[in-house]
Amino acid sequence: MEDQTLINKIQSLKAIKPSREWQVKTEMDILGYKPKVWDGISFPSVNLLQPRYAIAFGLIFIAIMSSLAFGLVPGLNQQEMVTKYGYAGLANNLDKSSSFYLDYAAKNLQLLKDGKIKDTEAVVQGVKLALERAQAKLPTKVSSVKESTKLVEKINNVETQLNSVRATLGSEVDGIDAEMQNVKTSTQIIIEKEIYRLTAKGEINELENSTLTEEQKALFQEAKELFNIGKYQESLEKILELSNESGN
Amino acid sequence: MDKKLAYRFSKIYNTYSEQIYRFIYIKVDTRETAEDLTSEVFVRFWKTFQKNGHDRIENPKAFLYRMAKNSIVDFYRGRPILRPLSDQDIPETADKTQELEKREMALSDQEQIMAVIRTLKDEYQDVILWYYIDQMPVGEIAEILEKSENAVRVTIFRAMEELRKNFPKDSFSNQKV
Repeated sequence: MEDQTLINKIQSLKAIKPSREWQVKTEMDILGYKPKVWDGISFPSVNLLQPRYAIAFGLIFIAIMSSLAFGLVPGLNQQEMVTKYGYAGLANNLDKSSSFYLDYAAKNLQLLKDGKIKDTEAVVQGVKLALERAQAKLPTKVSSVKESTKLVEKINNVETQLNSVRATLGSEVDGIDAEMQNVKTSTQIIIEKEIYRLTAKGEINELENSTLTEEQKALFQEAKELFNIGKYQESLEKILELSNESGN
Repeated sequence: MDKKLAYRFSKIYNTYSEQIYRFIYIKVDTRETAEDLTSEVFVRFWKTFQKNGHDRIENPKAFLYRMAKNSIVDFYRGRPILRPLSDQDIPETADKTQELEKREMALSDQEQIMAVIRTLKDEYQDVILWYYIDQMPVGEIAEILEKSENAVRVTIFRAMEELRKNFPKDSFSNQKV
């Protein structure tokens, strides 16, 4: 075999690369930078420690993680809740925000845990309904770090109360799990989208002032168009493709 | 956490993690093991980085490759049965080329070249990967191997000779160059 043929074959091994997702995750694990809200949240495939990403990610996750340290149940008047639990408490509140329903669910569970409500079945049904409504009323996007933090805080409150009640009542409250999971998953999707939006926005701003080749300009244009129609993850992927172009 | 230190680590990680992963993958041949060993290398590197400071590691690339080599050695020491095919695996009486031809027939191009590279002794594998894939200058390879540049050139030459010799006949006869 000719030398050059052999060298070409060896160089074909350059195609072996780790997945970008694994690279990012490993980097975050090593640096202890693991801003995890719930299992399953995925992150954009970018170098999170680059300053431009750090701002977006840092703000969101520091705020979210800090919020998890507080087990506050904000909101409703306890006496009011004692008399209006279960379905009854929701009858006159058909069109409230997801925050309202999450507070309602947390408070009902807390009262059940404290023995101030004895009718477990009514609370379970009421909390299920409240969580269903909370999910239906989730915002389509979070407009600020504060808003996403608040949402996560409230959901975690419900879950904390649910786990406490479960420790006392056991499987009697298992019926709530599916609704709990649904509202978490939906919130997760919204927050992920916001992360992608912030990251893509930072990248686009950065690239606006960069010198690009014709091919890169085309990719950049596509990235901006995807961003403008709300396809943030796809926009970011396009930007990564553009970055790879410069490395080739 | 020292943010400056983390940022410097991040830069090194993003520059070399792909190369280190590839270097390990070619020697161990499973994605999972390559990921585990690469993580291990960078965890150890990060610990050293934190302990000694980034200024104390003069050549991070050389340092990482040395750690990668050690990780691979440790890996095979713990799992001798999973050691990749090498010269010693084929009985002396057998026709090695013919044996390899049979083994590699079903493999893709990439798997085939990896399999043949693995028949080489470790040092030959290393110089081929560094010189031809990572396109590392001879001087840098010399630094990692702690050898003179001349010695490295000779090693590369011998490694290629050995590689050519171990290639199954007509391996790529139907393919474009």
